[in-house]
Amino acid sequence: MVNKSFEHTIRFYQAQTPVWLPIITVNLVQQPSGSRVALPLLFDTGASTTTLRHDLYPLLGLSSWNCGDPVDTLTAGSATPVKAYRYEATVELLGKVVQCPIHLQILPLDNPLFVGLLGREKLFEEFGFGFWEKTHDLYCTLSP
Amino acid sequence: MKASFAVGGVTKTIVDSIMTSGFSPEEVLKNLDSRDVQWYVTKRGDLFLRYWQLGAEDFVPVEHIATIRENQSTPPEASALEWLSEHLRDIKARYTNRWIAIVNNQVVADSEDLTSLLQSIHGAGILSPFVTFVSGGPIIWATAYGQ
Repeated sequence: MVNKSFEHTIRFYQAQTPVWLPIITVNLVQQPSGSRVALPLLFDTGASTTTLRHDLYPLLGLSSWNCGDPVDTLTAGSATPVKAYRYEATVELLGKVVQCPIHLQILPLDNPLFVGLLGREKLFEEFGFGFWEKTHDLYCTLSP
Repeated sequence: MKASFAVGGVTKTIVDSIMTSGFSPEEVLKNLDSRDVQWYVTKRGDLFLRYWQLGAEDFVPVEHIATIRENQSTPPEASALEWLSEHLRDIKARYTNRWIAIVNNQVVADSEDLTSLLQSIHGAGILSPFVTFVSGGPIIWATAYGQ
């Protein structure tokens, strides 16, 4: 039997609908000030890269959302690739600071409870996650 | 930096808070000492405070957890996301099509565009606000195109 230990429990959220969502609040560290802005992101194992709403570009110190490296992506389940723009960012999750790629993309999201998708690239290497649908909990360890 | 001090009770209660911006680290640490808050400064200069929390593992049967958690009230120090989730209907009615910043369970700034919101936040010296956009249309729960 495999046993895993997790130091943190993140509860799913439910509002106005029967839908429960695993949402994680992530701090985006702004450069060069180092100040932090907390963003709610949907935990999404299907997202290859953490992807934010395109109009969050001021948080990355950018003048527009589409000035980064263009990439074609299937993130957010498009049948055909859509355009995203890639940047490097510093994020803090549960006190752990990680440098990771960020995609800005016009997402089919329209919900105040989350402004993007927490994706796999780099971040999933730094944390361990346990997904427990029945209890509406997401478990997380900083030392996978 | 704003420091808060919590003392026990049925739920944690904020009994005192102070503004620490404008004070030297030594003054802040002295203030913590005066409140019997144990602190530790790392080699990097990070400040850690001793914080007590009691837990009872496996207290609730797994099949009852969701029901109990659904009905429990939100502690005053709960996260901005939890607060937003509980007040989503009111927030949506009041701040339609605006970016909002939430700190300590209240909306502390709002604006039509994110750049202006960030300027307001920084101008007011607000640290680590929770930021999101309150859309005008019905909330979409789909997370993929074409759903």
